[in-house]
Amino acid sequence: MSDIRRWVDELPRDSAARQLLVESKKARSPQGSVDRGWQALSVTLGVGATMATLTTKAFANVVTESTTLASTTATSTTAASTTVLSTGGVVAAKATTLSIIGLFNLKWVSVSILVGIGALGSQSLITKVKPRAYDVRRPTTNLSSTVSLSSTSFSVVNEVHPREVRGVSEALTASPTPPGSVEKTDTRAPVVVTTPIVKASRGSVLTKQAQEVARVKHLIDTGSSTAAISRLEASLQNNEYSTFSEERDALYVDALENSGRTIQAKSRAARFILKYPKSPHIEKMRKLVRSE
Amino acid sequence: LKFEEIYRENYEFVWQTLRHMGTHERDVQDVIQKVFIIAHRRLPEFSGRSSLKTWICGITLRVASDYRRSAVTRREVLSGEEQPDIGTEAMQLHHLEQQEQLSELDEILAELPFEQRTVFVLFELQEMSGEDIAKLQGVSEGTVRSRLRLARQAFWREVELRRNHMCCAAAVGDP
Repeated sequence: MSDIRRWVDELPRDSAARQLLVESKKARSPQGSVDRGWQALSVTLGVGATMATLTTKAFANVVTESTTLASTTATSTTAASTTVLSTGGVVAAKATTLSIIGLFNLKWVSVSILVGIGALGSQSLITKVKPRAYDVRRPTTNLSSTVSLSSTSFSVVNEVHPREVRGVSEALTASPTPPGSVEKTDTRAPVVVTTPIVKASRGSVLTKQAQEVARVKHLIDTGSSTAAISRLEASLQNNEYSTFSEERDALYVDALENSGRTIQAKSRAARFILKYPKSPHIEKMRKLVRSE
Repeated sequence: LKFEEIYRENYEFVWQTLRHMGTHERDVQDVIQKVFIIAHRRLPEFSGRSSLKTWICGITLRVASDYRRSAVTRREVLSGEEQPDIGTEAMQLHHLEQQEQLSELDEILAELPFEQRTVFVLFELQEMSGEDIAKLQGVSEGTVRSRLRLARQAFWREVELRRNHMCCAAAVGDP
């Protein structure tokens, strides 16, 4: 493929295909969406997400060679327990979080290993230790501000079933209570944060769509075309499945025209003509397309 | 490399890939979350045989493929849906124009078979190498080349067709 050039370099400069490709390549995500997305992801994944690191293979080998379950330093013991636990598949994610917590105290390390062993059941641990490109390193110091390390929270973890380890970490992270004041109720299973999919009956959907169209029309009539465009934008993404798509498309053209975006309005009007050749708005659209 | 760094470095790439592969803007944030949750879960399995970007791209394509098949794409849009926060009027305008272009691109790419669309998006828009695309799709580079050629032909045909229709539509009713 190295002998094939990118098409955009070969196409005629004024070709529509090239223009579309060039413009599409410039598309970027909305401003701030990266941060918002990361915040949501952090909550969903819990402490482990912010702690998980990817190291080079060489580093992973060094870590693995230096780690045994009998290691006396917190760092190496945690790395070992994490590596061992990572052989347990799904258990790995759960145990990793607890292992990180263990960095701060050897008591925690032993608890995390015990929890891991409990979760793994009869699986062999030491024989499955393999070097990996992925490992868990010492977390940043700001962890101490979010995770309680007091004896109170220790007892909480101690009471939790291995399956709920991840839930505990998430509960601890999300808990607004200060360190040392975590109560037993925090051990409940985590609430998975997802965007709710609203289910509504067909009738209510139609009613809401009709109300929205009326609202947009009112905005246009009262001169708030920009606000109308903003409202219409989301709806226009789903043209083919909306009952009032024809009306919305027509309103969108109106809003564009009223806000002075004539070229875009004409372009939209042309598409409208193609899409709805029998529409009652067709004459108005033709007039707009033909206008100077 | 912290997972947050992995996330931030690859976010834009994942966003673009998903949008070009037909993920609706309304759903793209949810789908990105899904991609990175899977990436986080499977990070221990990453062996370094390919670049991290290629590996994440593989996950993105699988999630995009699932998205296409899922009922999410046929979900009704409820009015009053939360609007994206796109700031000033100038930004809104830019956002809207971008939406228009992506929408048009999506309509054209939707005419291509999924494999051709994938090759086209990854090579022409995401500027990945043919070798990486071949690895991702589990096919030879010759197959990638062939799919790319067909995709280019179809893309060109479709764009020209649409431009002609636009001209005809504008001329309709002219005396």
